[in-house]
Amino acid sequence: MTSSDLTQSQLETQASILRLVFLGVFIGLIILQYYLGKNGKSRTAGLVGPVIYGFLRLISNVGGVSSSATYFLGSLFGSVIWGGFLYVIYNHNKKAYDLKQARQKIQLAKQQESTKQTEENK
Amino acid sequence: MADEVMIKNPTYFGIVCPKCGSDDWRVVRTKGSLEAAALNTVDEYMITPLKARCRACHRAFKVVPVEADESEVLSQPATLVAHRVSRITGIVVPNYILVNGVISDSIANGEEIQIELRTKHVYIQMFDASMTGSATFERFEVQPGETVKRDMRIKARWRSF
Ligand SMILES: [Zn+2]
Repeated sequence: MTSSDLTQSQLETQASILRLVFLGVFIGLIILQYYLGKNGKSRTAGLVGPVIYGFLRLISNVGGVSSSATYFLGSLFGSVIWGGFLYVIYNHNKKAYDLKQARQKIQLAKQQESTKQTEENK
Repeated sequence: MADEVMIKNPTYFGIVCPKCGSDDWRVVRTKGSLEAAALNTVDEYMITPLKARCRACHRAFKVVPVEADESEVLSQPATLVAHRVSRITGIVVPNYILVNGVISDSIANGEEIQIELRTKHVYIQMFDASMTGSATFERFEVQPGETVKRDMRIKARWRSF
């Protein structure tokens, strides 16, 4: 079925359904990001990213009009924002990992010291 | 770090609001405490001044843990079993537990960790990964050798003021 086979009203219905689907997906993503990255920085990034990405996709790719430049820019911008968001998650986890390592070292030193002391007491 | 101070048994016990003298205050910002936590040695903790706010008069002030008195230090360390309640909120990021003004450990979603307590009066608070959003907060007393269990929950924002 090509677009010429469709009447104007059918096209309009199709476009509005697509628009709704897109909107649903992006609102879902925003909510998901809000809850996954529950902290200052990533929450802001998580909110701004999908909103702009979704808006650009919405105006470029739905309703029969397709502008590859806008689409490309939208995708690029979206990827950058999403990449930044993932980086923030990675960074938070790395910090926690480093702290755990430091604590393990302390624990080990403590154990060694106590065994040394018990040996000396003998 | 400008104020590098190491103390053996940090405590917030006895610190009161400079304006009204109330001891009902909370830490609201823990900037720098994570970096300090990584510098702890076997028996000493690196402490940092943190921003606190009085719940009675809303005055904000800097709070630094002090060395605990002999009567305040437990003869035998107690144990805190901290359990972070499993939730979708912040599932991919670690949280941190502040004990007596020092970041003790990170805690993952649903994880249970053990923390050694050396003082009688204990101040615990959980913070999210950005170290600004405050969550479960409590002051309590422990006996020597006691094991206490606490469920920690993350909250959206600190909004008690
Ligand atoms: Zn006050």
